[in-house]
Amino acid sequence: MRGINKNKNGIAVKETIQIEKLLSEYAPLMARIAATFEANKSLQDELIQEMSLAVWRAFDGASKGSDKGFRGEASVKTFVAKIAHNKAVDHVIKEQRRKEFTHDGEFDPSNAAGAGSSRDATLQENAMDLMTGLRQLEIKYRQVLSMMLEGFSQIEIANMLGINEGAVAKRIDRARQQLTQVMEQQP
Amino acid sequence: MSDNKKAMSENEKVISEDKEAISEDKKAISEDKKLVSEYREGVRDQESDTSANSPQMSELDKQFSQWQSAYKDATPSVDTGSLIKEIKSARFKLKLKGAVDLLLGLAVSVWCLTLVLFEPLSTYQLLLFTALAPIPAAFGVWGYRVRQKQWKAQTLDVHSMLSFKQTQLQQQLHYWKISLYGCAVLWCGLFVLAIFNVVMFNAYTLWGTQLVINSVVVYIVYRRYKKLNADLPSALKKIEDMK
Repeated sequence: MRGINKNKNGIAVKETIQIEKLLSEYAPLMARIAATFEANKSLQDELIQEMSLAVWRAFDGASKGSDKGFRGEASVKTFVAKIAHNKAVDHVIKEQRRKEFTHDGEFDPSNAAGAGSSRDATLQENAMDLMTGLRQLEIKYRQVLSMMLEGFSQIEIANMLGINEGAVAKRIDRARQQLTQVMEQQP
Repeated sequence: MSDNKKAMSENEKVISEDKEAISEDKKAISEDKKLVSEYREGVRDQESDTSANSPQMSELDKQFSQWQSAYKDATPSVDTGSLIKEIKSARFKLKLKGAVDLLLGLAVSVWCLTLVLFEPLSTYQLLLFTALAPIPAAFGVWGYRVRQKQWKAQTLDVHSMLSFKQTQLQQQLHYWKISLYGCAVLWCGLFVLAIFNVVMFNAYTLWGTQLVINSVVVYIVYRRYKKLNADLPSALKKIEDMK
Protein backbone atom coordinates (compact mmCIF):
# COMPACT_ATOMS: atom_id res chain seq x y z
CA MET A 1 0.00 0.00 0.00
CA ARG A 2 2.82 2.32 0.98
CA GLY A 3 4.58 1.35 -2.22
CA ILE A 4 1.53 2.29 -4.27
CA ASN A 5 1.24 5.64 -2.48
CA LYS A 6 4.91 6.30 -3.06
CA ASN A 7 4.45 5.47 -6.71
CA LYS A 8 1.40 7.70 -6.96
CA ASN A 9 3.26 10.54 -5.26
CA GLY A 10 6.14 10.05 -7.67
CA ILE A 11 3.79 10.31 -10.67
CA ALA A 12 2.10 13.37 -9.16
CA VAL A 13 5.46 15.10 -8.64
CA LYS A 14 6.48 14.26 -12.22
CA GLU A 15 3.22 15.66 -13.53
CA THR A 16 3.59 18.81 -11.45
CA ILE A 17 7.07 19.35 -12.88
CA GLN A 18 5.73 18.80 -16.41
CA ILE A 19 2.89 21.29 -15.88
CA GLU A 20 5.33 23.82 -14.40
CA LYS A 21 7.56 23.41 -17.46
CA LEU A 22 4.57 23.87 -19.72
CA LEU A 23 3.48 27.01 -17.89
CA SER A 24 6.98 28.47 -18.14
CA GLU A 25 7.02 27.72 -21.86
CA TYR A 26 3.62 29.26 -22.58
CA ALA A 27 3.73 32.16 -20.09
CA PRO A 28 4.77 34.68 -22.82
CA LEU A 29 1.86 33.50 -25.03
CA MET A 30 -0.59 34.00 -22.16
CA ALA A 31 0.98 37.35 -21.31
CA ARG A 32 0.52 38.56 -24.90
CA ILE A 33 -3.12 37.46 -24.91
CA ALA A 34 -3.67 39.17 -21.54
CA ALA A 35 -2.07 42.37 -22.87
CA THR A 36 -4.36 42.25 -25.91
CA PHE A 37 -7.45 42.29 -23.71
CA GLU A 38 -6.33 44.33 -20.70
CA ALA A 39 -4.26 47.51 -20.68
CA ASN A 40 -4.05 47.91 -16.92
CA LYS A 41 -0.85 46.27 -15.64
CA SER A 42 -2.16 44.93 -12.33
CA LEU A 43 -5.32 43.55 -13.94
CA GLN A 44 -3.12 42.06 -16.66
CA ASP A 45 -1.07 40.20 -14.02
CA GLU A 46 -4.25 38.99 -12.39
CA LEU A 47 -5.50 37.74 -15.75
CA ILE A 48 -2.23 35.88 -16.46
CA GLN A 49 -2.60 34.17 -13.08
CA GLU A 50 -6.18 33.17 -13.83
CA MET A 51 -5.14 31.82 -17.22
CA SER A 52 -2.26 29.83 -15.71
CA LEU A 53 -4.49 28.41 -13.02
CA ALA A 54 -7.09 27.36 -15.60
CA VAL A 55 -4.37 25.73 -17.74
CA TRP A 56 -3.03 23.88 -14.69
CA ARG A 57 -6.53 22.65 -13.79
CA ALA A 58 -7.14 21.50 -17.35
CA PHE A 59 -3.92 19.48 -17.53
CA ASP A 60 -4.53 18.20 -13.99
CA GLY A 61 -7.94 16.99 -15.17
CA ALA A 62 -6.31 15.27 -18.12
CA SER A 63 -3.83 13.42 -15.93
CA LYS A 64 -6.68 12.21 -13.70
CA GLY A 65 -8.59 10.90 -16.71
CA SER A 66 -11.34 13.48 -16.32
CA ASP A 67 -13.39 14.43 -19.38
CA LYS A 68 -12.67 18.12 -18.96
CA GLY A 69 -8.93 18.11 -19.53
CA PHE A 70 -6.56 18.02 -22.46
CA ARG A 71 -7.38 15.03 -24.65
CA GLY A 72 -4.65 15.43 -27.20
CA GLU A 73 -7.05 16.37 -30.00
CA ALA A 74 -5.29 19.68 -30.57
CA SER A 75 -1.71 20.80 -30.12
CA VAL A 76 -0.72 21.85 -26.62
CA LYS A 77 -0.18 25.42 -27.85
CA THR A 78 -3.69 25.56 -29.32
CA PHE A 79 -5.18 24.15 -26.14
CA VAL A 80 -3.34 26.66 -23.94
CA ALA A 81 -4.31 29.55 -26.24
CA LYS A 82 -7.95 28.44 -26.23
CA ILE A 83 -8.08 28.45 -22.42
CA ALA A 84 -6.24 31.79 -22.30
CA HIS A 85 -8.69 33.36 -24.74
CA ASN A 86 -11.66 31.97 -22.81
CA LYS A 87 -10.28 33.48 -19.63
CA ALA A 88 -9.63 36.78 -21.39
CA VAL A 89 -13.20 36.95 -22.70
CA ASP A 90 -14.48 36.00 -19.24
CA HIS A 91 -12.38 38.82 -17.82
CA VAL A 92 -13.83 41.32 -20.31
CA ILE A 93 -17.39 40.25 -19.40
CA LYS A 94 -16.64 40.70 -15.69
CA GLU A 95 -15.01 44.07 -16.30
CA GLN A 96 -17.98 45.16 -18.41
CA ARG A 97 -20.26 44.29 -15.56
CA ARG A 98 -18.08 46.15 -13.07
CA LYS A 99 -17.82 49.24 -15.20
CA GLU A 100 -18.41 49.97 -18.84
CA PHE A 101 -15.31 48.62 -20.52
CA THR A 102 -13.10 51.59 -21.10
CA HIS A 103 -9.80 51.62 -22.88
CA ASP A 104 -8.17 53.37 -19.99
CA GLY A 105 -4.54 52.72 -19.29
CA GLU A 106 -2.02 52.29 -21.99
CA PHE A 107 0.51 49.65 -22.81
CA ASP A 108 3.43 50.19 -20.52
CA PRO A 109 6.61 49.97 -22.58
CA SER A 110 8.67 49.22 -19.52
CA ASN A 111 6.53 46.15 -19.16
CA ALA A 112 7.68 44.61 -22.43
CA ALA A 113 10.28 41.87 -22.43
CA GLY A 114 13.72 43.25 -22.97
CA ALA A 115 12.73 46.77 -22.04
CA GLY A 116 15.64 48.72 -20.67
CA SER A 117 18.03 46.79 -22.89
CA SER A 118 19.26 48.11 -26.20
CA ARG A 119 15.95 47.41 -27.92
CA ASP A 120 15.23 49.94 -30.54
CA ALA A 121 12.84 52.68 -29.40
CA THR A 122 11.03 52.54 -32.72
CA LEU A 123 10.26 48.86 -32.24
CA GLN A 124 8.80 49.59 -28.82
CA GLU A 125 6.76 52.40 -30.25
CA ASN A 126 5.46 50.10 -32.99
CA ALA A 127 4.57 47.47 -30.41
CA MET A 128 2.78 50.09 -28.30
CA ASP A 129 0.85 51.40 -31.31
CA LEU A 130 -0.18 47.91 -32.33
CA MET A 131 -1.42 46.95 -28.87
CA THR A 132 -3.31 50.23 -28.50
CA GLY A 133 -4.85 49.65 -31.92
CA LEU A 134 -5.75 46.04 -31.15
CA ARG A 135 -7.49 47.03 -27.93
CA GLN A 136 -9.74 49.38 -29.87
CA LEU A 137 -11.11 46.56 -32.02
CA GLU A 138 -14.27 44.63 -31.22
CA ILE A 139 -13.57 41.51 -29.16
CA LYS A 140 -14.28 39.09 -32.02
CA TYR A 141 -11.88 40.93 -34.34
CA ARG A 142 -9.29 41.27 -31.59
CA GLN A 143 -9.45 37.52 -31.03
CA VAL A 144 -8.91 36.41 -34.61
CA LEU A 145 -6.20 38.93 -35.25
CA SER A 146 -4.24 38.14 -32.10
CA MET A 147 -4.49 34.41 -32.91
CA MET A 148 -3.33 35.09 -36.45
CA LEU A 149 -0.44 37.21 -35.19
CA GLU A 150 0.44 34.39 -32.82
CA GLY A 151 0.90 32.20 -35.90
CA PHE A 152 -2.17 29.98 -35.74
CA SER A 153 -3.69 28.69 -38.97
CA GLN A 154 -7.29 29.45 -39.94
CA ILE A 155 -8.37 25.87 -39.08
CA GLU A 156 -6.82 26.16 -35.63
CA ILE A 157 -8.51 29.52 -35.08
CA ALA A 158 -11.84 28.06 -36.22
CA ASN A 159 -11.44 25.21 -33.72
CA MET A 160 -10.53 27.55 -30.90
CA LEU A 161 -13.43 29.89 -31.58
CA GLY A 162 -15.99 27.22 -32.46
CA ILE A 163 -16.91 28.81 -35.80
CA ASN A 164 -16.31 27.72 -39.40
CA GLU A 165 -13.27 28.59 -41.48
CA GLY A 166 -15.22 30.87 -43.81
CA ALA A 167 -16.35 33.00 -40.88
CA VAL A 168 -12.75 33.14 -39.63
CA ALA A 169 -11.50 34.33 -43.02
CA LYS A 170 -14.18 37.05 -43.13
CA ARG A 171 -13.36 38.18 -39.60
CA ILE A 172 -9.65 38.30 -40.33
CA ASP A 173 -10.29 40.41 -43.40
CA ARG A 174 -12.48 42.89 -41.49
CA ALA A 175 -10.14 42.90 -38.53
CA ARG A 176 -7.19 43.79 -40.77
CA GLN A 177 -9.16 46.60 -42.38
CA GLN A 178 -10.27 47.96 -39.02
CA LEU A 179 -6.80 47.76 -37.52
CA THR A 180 -5.29 49.50 -40.55
CA GLN A 181 -7.83 52.31 -40.15
CA VAL A 182 -7.22 52.59 -36.42
CA MET A 183 -3.44 52.62 -36.90
CA GLU A 184 -3.74 55.33 -39.57
CA GLN A 185 -5.82 57.49 -37.22
CA GLN A 186 -3.24 57.19 -34.45
CA PRO A 187 -1.02 60.25 -34.12
CA MET B 1 -22.59 21.34 -127.99
CA SER B 2 -25.25 20.68 -125.52
CA ASP B 3 -22.82 18.32 -123.68
CA ASN B 4 -20.23 21.10 -123.59
CA LYS B 5 -22.79 23.53 -122.20
CA LYS B 6 -23.77 20.98 -119.54
CA ALA B 7 -20.14 20.45 -118.61
CA MET B 8 -19.56 24.20 -118.42
CA SER B 9 -22.61 24.78 -116.25
CA GLU B 10 -21.44 21.95 -113.95
CA ASN B 11 -17.98 23.53 -113.81
CA GLU B 12 -19.55 26.86 -112.89
CA LYS B 13 -21.56 25.14 -110.21
CA VAL B 14 -18.46 23.52 -108.79
CA ILE B 15 -16.63 26.84 -108.94
CA SER B 16 -19.45 28.66 -107.15
CA GLU B 17 -19.52 25.88 -104.49
CA ASP B 18 -15.76 26.25 -104.08
CA LYS B 19 -16.18 30.00 -103.76
CA GLU B 20 -18.85 29.43 -101.10
CA ALA B 21 -16.58 27.03 -99.28
CA ILE B 22 -13.71 29.54 -99.47
CA SER B 23 -15.93 32.34 -98.14
CA GLU B 24 -17.04 30.03 -95.25
CA ASP B 25 -13.41 29.20 -94.54
CA LYS B 26 -12.63 32.92 -94.51
CA LYS B 27 -15.51 33.47 -92.14
CA ALA B 28 -14.25 30.69 -89.84
CA ILE B 29 -10.73 32.12 -89.97
CA SER B 30 -11.98 35.59 -89.10
CA GLU B 31 -13.98 34.09 -86.20
CA ASP B 32 -10.88 32.24 -85.03
CA LYS B 33 -8.90 35.45 -85.30
CA LYS B 34 -11.57 37.19 -83.23
CA LEU B 35 -11.40 34.44 -80.59
CA VAL B 36 -7.61 34.60 -80.51
CA SER B 37 -7.68 38.37 -80.12
CA GLU B 38 -10.29 38.05 -77.37
CA TYR B 39 -8.14 35.45 -75.61
CA ARG B 40 -5.08 37.66 -75.97
CA GLU B 41 -7.05 40.56 -74.54
CA GLY B 42 -8.10 38.40 -71.59
CA VAL B 43 -4.56 37.28 -70.97
CA ARG B 44 -3.40 40.89 -71.16
CA ASP B 45 -6.12 41.90 -68.67
CA GLN B 46 -5.15 39.08 -66.35
CA GLU B 47 -1.52 40.06 -66.57
CA SER B 48 -2.32 43.65 -65.79
CA ASP B 49 -4.56 42.51 -62.86
CA THR B 50 -1.80 40.33 -61.46
CA SER B 51 0.75 43.06 -61.83
CA ALA B 52 -1.62 45.47 -60.08
CA ASN B 53 -2.47 42.98 -57.27
CA SER B 54 0.95 41.60 -56.53
CA PRO B 55 2.34 44.82 -55.06
CA GLN B 56 -0.88 45.10 -53.06
CA MET B 57 -0.49 41.52 -51.84
CA SER B 58 3.13 41.97 -50.97
CA GLU B 59 2.20 45.23 -49.23
CA LEU B 60 -0.37 43.35 -47.12
CA ASP B 61 2.10 40.58 -46.34
CA LYS B 62 4.68 43.16 -45.39
CA GLN B 63 2.22 44.95 -43.14
CA PHE B 64 1.20 41.66 -41.54
CA SER B 65 4.77 40.58 -40.86
CA GLN B 66 5.43 44.01 -39.35
CA TRP B 67 2.43 43.61 -37.08
CA GLN B 68 3.54 40.11 -36.20
CA SER B 69 6.98 41.22 -35.09
CA ALA B 70 5.48 44.21 -33.22
CA TYR B 71 3.08 41.82 -31.47
CA LYS B 72 5.97 39.62 -30.35
CA ASP B 73 7.85 42.73 -29.20
CA ALA B 74 4.86 43.72 -27.07
CA THR B 75 5.20 40.58 -24.92
CA PRO B 76 4.94 41.71 -21.29
CA SER B 77 7.72 40.41 -19.09
CA VAL B 78 6.60 37.54 -16.85
CA ASP B 79 8.44 36.24 -13.82
CA THR B 80 7.53 32.58 -14.36
CA GLY B 81 9.07 31.50 -11.05
CA SER B 82 6.84 33.73 -8.96
CA LEU B 83 3.89 33.06 -11.27
CA ILE B 84 4.15 29.31 -10.62
CA LYS B 85 4.50 29.96 -6.88
CA GLU B 86 1.35 32.07 -6.90
CA ILE B 87 -0.53 29.49 -8.94
CA LYS B 88 0.46 26.75 -6.52
CA SER B 89 -0.76 28.81 -3.60
CA ALA B 90 -4.00 29.74 -5.41
CA ARG B 91 -4.59 26.08 -6.25
CA PHE B 92 -4.02 25.06 -2.65
CA LYS B 93 -6.43 27.75 -1.42
CA LEU B 94 -9.07 26.67 -3.91
CA LYS B 95 -8.73 23.03 -2.93
CA LEU B 96 -8.83 23.94 0.76
CA LYS B 97 -11.91 26.12 0.26
CA GLY B 98 -13.68 23.35 -1.65
CA ALA B 99 -12.81 20.76 1.00
CA VAL B 100 -13.87 23.06 3.88
CA ASP B 101 -17.19 23.83 2.15
CA LEU B 102 -17.89 20.17 1.60
CA LEU B 103 -16.80 19.11 5.11
CA LEU B 104 -18.83 21.85 6.81
CA GLY B 105 -21.92 20.82 4.87
CA LEU B 106 -21.36 17.17 5.76
CA ALA B 107 -20.71 18.05 9.43
CA VAL B 108 -24.01 19.93 9.74
CA SER B 109 -25.86 17.09 8.02
CA VAL B 110 -24.23 14.50 10.29
CA TRP B 111 -25.08 16.62 13.35
CA CYS B 112 -28.75 16.82 12.31
CA LEU B 113 -28.80 13.08 11.63
CA THR B 114 -27.25 12.34 15.05
CA LEU B 115 -29.95 14.41 16.73
CA VAL B 116 -32.68 12.60 14.81
CA LEU B 117 -31.28 9.14 15.55
CA PHE B 118 -29.92 9.40 19.06
CA GLU B 119 -31.63 12.30 20.87
CA PRO B 120 -35.12 12.30 22.37
CA LEU B 121 -36.94 14.88 20.27
CA SER B 122 -40.50 16.13 20.05
CA THR B 123 -42.43 15.35 16.85
CA TYR B 124 -42.00 18.92 15.65
CA GLN B 125 -38.21 18.83 16.26
CA LEU B 126 -37.92 15.39 14.67
CA LEU B 127 -39.66 16.59 11.53
CA LEU B 128 -37.58 19.77 11.42
CA PHE B 129 -34.20 18.05 11.82
CA THR B 130 -35.14 15.24 9.42
CA ALA B 131 -36.00 17.84 6.80
CA LEU B 132 -32.84 19.85 7.53
CA ALA B 133 -30.37 16.92 7.55
CA PRO B 134 -29.84 16.44 3.78
CA ILE B 135 -29.86 20.17 2.89
CA PRO B 136 -26.27 21.19 3.88
CA ALA B 137 -24.69 18.09 2.32
CA ALA B 138 -26.78 18.52 -0.84
CA PHE B 139 -25.78 22.19 -0.97
CA GLY B 140 -22.09 21.24 -0.67
CA VAL B 141 -22.37 18.69 -3.48
CA TRP B 142 -24.29 21.19 -5.64
CA GLY B 143 -21.59 23.86 -5.07
CA TYR B 144 -18.89 21.35 -6.01
CA ARG B 145 -20.71 20.43 -9.23
CA VAL B 146 -21.23 24.09 -10.17
CA ARG B 147 -17.50 24.77 -9.72
CA GLN B 148 -16.61 21.72 -11.82
CA LYS B 149 -18.95 22.92 -14.56
CA GLN B 150 -17.34 26.36 -14.53
CA TRP B 151 -13.88 24.84 -14.87
CA LYS B 152 -15.07 22.61 -17.66
CA ALA B 153 -16.43 25.63 -19.53
CA GLN B 154 -12.90 27.06 -19.68
CA THR B 155 -11.74 24.22 -21.90
CA LEU B 156 -14.59 24.64 -24.42
CA ASP B 157 -14.22 26.68 -27.59
CA VAL B 158 -14.90 30.41 -27.20
CA HIS B 159 -18.35 30.25 -28.85
CA SER B 160 -19.54 27.46 -26.53
CA MET B 161 -18.03 29.18 -23.52
CA LEU B 162 -19.96 32.36 -24.36
CA SER B 163 -23.18 30.35 -24.72
CA PHE B 164 -22.43 28.83 -21.32
CA LYS B 165 -22.02 32.34 -19.89
CA GLN B 166 -25.40 33.36 -21.32
CA THR B 167 -27.08 30.33 -19.78
CA GLN B 168 -25.35 31.09 -16.51
CA LEU B 169 -26.74 34.63 -16.50
CA GLN B 170 -30.25 33.34 -17.18
CA GLN B 171 -29.88 30.74 -14.43
CA GLN B 172 -28.63 33.39 -12.03
CA LEU B 173 -31.81 35.39 -12.60
CA HIS B 174 -33.85 32.23 -12.12
CA TYR B 175 -32.15 31.53 -8.75
CA TRP B 176 -32.87 35.07 -7.55
CA LYS B 177 -36.49 34.72 -8.64
CA ILE B 178 -36.83 31.47 -6.68
CA SER B 179 -35.09 33.13 -3.70
CA LEU B 180 -37.53 36.02 -3.89
CA TYR B 181 -40.52 33.66 -3.87
CA GLY B 182 -38.97 31.69 -1.00
CA CYS B 183 -38.34 34.85 1.03
CA ALA B 184 -41.85 36.12 0.33
CA VAL B 185 -43.41 32.80 1.45
CA LEU B 186 -41.27 32.85 4.61
CA TRP B 187 -42.32 36.43 5.30
CA CYS B 188 -46.00 35.49 4.92
CA GLY B 189 -45.55 32.54 7.30
CA LEU B 190 -43.79 34.80 9.77
CA PHE B 191 -46.55 37.38 9.42
CA VAL B 192 -49.22 34.79 10.29
CA LEU B 193 -47.17 33.62 13.29
CA ALA B 194 -46.60 37.24 14.36
CA ILE B 195 -50.33 38.00 14.30
CA PHE B 196 -51.05 34.83 16.27
CA ASN B 197 -48.38 35.64 18.89
CA VAL B 198 -49.34 39.29 19.18
CA VAL B 199 -53.03 38.47 19.62
CA MET B 200 -52.43 35.56 22.00
CA PHE B 201 -49.39 36.71 23.98
CA ASN B 202 -48.99 40.45 23.28
CA ALA B 203 -45.42 39.80 22.05
CA TYR B 204 -45.18 42.99 19.99
CA THR B 205 -41.45 43.69 20.26
CA LEU B 206 -40.10 40.22 19.43
CA TRP B 207 -42.39 39.51 16.46
CA GLY B 208 -42.35 43.09 15.24
CA THR B 209 -38.53 43.07 15.12
CA GLN B 210 -38.51 39.73 13.30
CA LEU B 211 -40.98 41.01 10.75
CA VAL B 212 -38.96 44.21 10.15
CA ILE B 213 -35.70 42.28 9.71
CA ASN B 214 -37.36 39.86 7.32
CA SER B 215 -38.95 42.71 5.39
CA VAL B 216 -35.48 44.18 4.84
CA VAL B 217 -34.23 40.81 3.55
CA VAL B 218 -37.22 40.48 1.19
CA TYR B 219 -36.68 44.05 -0.05
CA ILE B 220 -32.95 43.45 -0.74
CA VAL B 221 -33.69 40.21 -2.62
CA TYR B 222 -36.46 41.99 -4.57
CA ARG B 223 -34.13 44.89 -5.55
CA ARG B 224 -31.41 42.48 -6.61
CA TYR B 225 -33.84 40.47 -8.70
CA LYS B 226 -35.25 43.61 -10.37
CA LYS B 227 -31.73 44.91 -11.11
CA LEU B 228 -30.63 41.60 -12.65
CA ASN B 229 -33.84 41.36 -14.61
CA ALA B 230 -33.36 44.84 -16.03
CA ASP B 231 -29.67 44.24 -16.85
CA LEU B 232 -30.11 40.79 -18.39
CA PRO B 233 -31.04 41.77 -21.99
CA SER B 234 -28.07 44.13 -22.40
CA ALA B 235 -25.71 41.64 -20.72
CA LEU B 236 -26.90 38.88 -23.07
CA LYS B 237 -26.54 41.18 -26.07
CA LYS B 238 -22.99 42.13 -25.11
CA ILE B 239 -22.04 38.46 -24.96
CA GLU B 240 -23.86 37.78 -28.23
CA ASP B 241 -21.81 40.54 -29.88
CA MET B 242 -18.62 38.78 -28.83
CA LYS B 243 -19.60 35.58 -30.63
